[in-house]
Amino acid sequence: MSVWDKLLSLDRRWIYLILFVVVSYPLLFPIGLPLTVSRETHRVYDYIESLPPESVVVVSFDYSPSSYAEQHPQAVAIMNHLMRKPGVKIICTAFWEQGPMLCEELLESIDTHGKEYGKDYVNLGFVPGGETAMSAFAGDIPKTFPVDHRKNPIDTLPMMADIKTANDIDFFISIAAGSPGVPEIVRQIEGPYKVPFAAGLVAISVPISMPYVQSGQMVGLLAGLRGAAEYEQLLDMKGTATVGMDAISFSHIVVLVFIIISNVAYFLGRHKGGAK
Amino acid sequence: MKKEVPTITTFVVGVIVILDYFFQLGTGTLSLEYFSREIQNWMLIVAAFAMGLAAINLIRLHVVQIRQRKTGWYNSVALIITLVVMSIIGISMGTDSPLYRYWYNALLVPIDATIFSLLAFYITSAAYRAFRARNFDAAVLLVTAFIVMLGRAPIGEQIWSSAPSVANWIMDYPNMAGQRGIIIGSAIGAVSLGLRILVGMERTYLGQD
Amino acid sequence: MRSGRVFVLVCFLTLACVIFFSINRARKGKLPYLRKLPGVDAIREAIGRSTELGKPIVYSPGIAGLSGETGAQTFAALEILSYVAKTAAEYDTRLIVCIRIPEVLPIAEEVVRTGYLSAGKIESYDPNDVRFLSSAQFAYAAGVMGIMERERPGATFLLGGFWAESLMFAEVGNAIGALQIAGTANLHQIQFFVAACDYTIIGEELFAVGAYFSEDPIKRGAISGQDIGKLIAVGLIIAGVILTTFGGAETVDKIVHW
Repeated sequence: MSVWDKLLSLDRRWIYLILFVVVSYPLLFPIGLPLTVSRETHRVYDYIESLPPESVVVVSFDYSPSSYAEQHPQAVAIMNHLMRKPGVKIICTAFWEQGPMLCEELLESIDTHGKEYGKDYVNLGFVPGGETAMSAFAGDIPKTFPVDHRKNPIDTLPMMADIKTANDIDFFISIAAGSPGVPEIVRQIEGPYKVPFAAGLVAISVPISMPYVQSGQMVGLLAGLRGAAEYEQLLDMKGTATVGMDAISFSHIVVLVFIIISNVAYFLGRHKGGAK
Repeated sequence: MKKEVPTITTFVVGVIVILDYFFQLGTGTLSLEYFSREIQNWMLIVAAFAMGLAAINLIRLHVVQIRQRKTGWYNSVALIITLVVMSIIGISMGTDSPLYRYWYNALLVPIDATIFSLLAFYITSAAYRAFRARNFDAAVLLVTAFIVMLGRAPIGEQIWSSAPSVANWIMDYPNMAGQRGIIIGSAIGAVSLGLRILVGMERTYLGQD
Repeated sequence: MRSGRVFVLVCFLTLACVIFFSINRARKGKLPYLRKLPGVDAIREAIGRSTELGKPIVYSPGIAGLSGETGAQTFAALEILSYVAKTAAEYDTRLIVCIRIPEVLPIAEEVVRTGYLSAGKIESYDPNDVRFLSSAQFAYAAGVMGIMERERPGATFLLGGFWAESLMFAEVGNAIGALQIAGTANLHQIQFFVAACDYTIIGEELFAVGAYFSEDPIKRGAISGQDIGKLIAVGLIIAGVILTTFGGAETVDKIVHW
């Protein structure tokens, strides 16, 4: 077996080991590579920045622990920004079952900048049913959530007094890992009620959601961990996403190097008659 | 009646939900919207019962594994114990109780994140194996993947300053065009299948041709 | 009429008429020509390969449920499962079906059981081989990967709605040397299947596969109707592009939101 054949049939465990070592290095010894903020992230930031007091924003925690590393920093960054905006009311909800727990974890650790639970922000919890639940929520919020996640009746929460349907919402943000997610929100909330909306997405979902950004149905989006890091940069905060970007850079380089090696081995092996 | 009842039920329910999307007919509890919402609520109840059936299937399978001492039967023991314990804690104390959240955060969260993180390794090995310029199509795939990966990482901008803008162009134009074509085709395919199921022309899901 | 939905209704009715017209035409004997899909031919090959090797087949109908826009993929996957079950039964090859969504389980059980029944091999049907693993995405993924590693199937079928676990299944299947046939209409996963599987059924082809296995004029007619629908979509795109290019963007917007 020629050296090219050996390279082409390299045991995948070597690949895993090299990737593990290379990605671990910047996590242990951060480098701090500069980052350009994308226009999609900027649009979300600018829109939130322009929200007047008394605006009602819904943040939907539609992800699970599996995408926690990628999406929780997005949620933290967005919620930090919203908490800084005086007078803005925040309704947290979830159409994924683990959403409320992730929301509570975030609310326990975030600086609320003087906002009070029930008056300025609330965690309504999870409603099962996916797209059906979104439709129900948009049509009648108190009926869909008669109590919030902390078991408070909704009519005892001062901020919910005048918020009945999606018509009373000024901005909808979904931190969405899959389905229900962007297409469902377009069909049930943005389309029928014309509520401006943005999303924080896992990187793999970004290409299929870009048509909605291009068509103007979405204000913008946060693309994976990079989107969270960009948002942290705009907020001038050093969060977990910024730390993770170096690891992402290194992992991309590892993949590219392996692709180059694979192609070199393929062509040189073919040239020397050794590879298929 | 074994064939007719599910088919008629599918038709009636489907027509109500579809009509409700387009028309606002009736008022209050005699409105299309009310019936549509009720049907969708029933779906949730059916799904909850199906979860019970699935749990029974799971337990039955693993009890057989344990009884017959099949390879790895002790994993089945761990599964059943975990299932029972978490169910008892969740039902009796609620899913917000400290004990439930402790085990949830200690077990499910790290395991879930770990399995998802395996994807990074699998992507690397798949890329090593698949991104070889065997022919023209493969070469185009290779070059575009290369540019997009470079453009998406901060280090890529340091290596080639135009990488992000070229990557964005690839994502915004050729990628978008291809995606839209597939989206439209898939949507039409889904509508076609839905219509056939609705009118009873398609009954494979009932175990019949 | 709810506002902003007239255009959608018109498109839906047009598509429905076209599909039913094509089905009717096919029923009267004018069967449309179907081009070859390599993935479809490979399905029988894969089952045969597993039989020769004396190995089982692992089938995953995806992780989507029965509702929403991905529900159609699950139905399409169950349609193909029907054929695979019958063929596997005829060949006396063990078929393991892995289910994530609880409400799909009884349907999959019935589909597989009927497949064995129609092959005259009902005594070979083992209900324990149609398994609910978990409704948690990555618990399901770990379960399927474990089954593949332990059972070492000769062929794996990954057909339906998949998300992040798609590449995991494909890579594990590749590592154990299984012949892999995959298909999904989820755009974000197609590329992983193309890169890692032997045969890939892309997008709408998933909904058409059922027609290839049967001489059923309904299924064939529906495919022809879908193609006409796509031509109408192309026409609308061209009209929209022309209108928008020559200053008619507002008109297009009004029509779409009519």
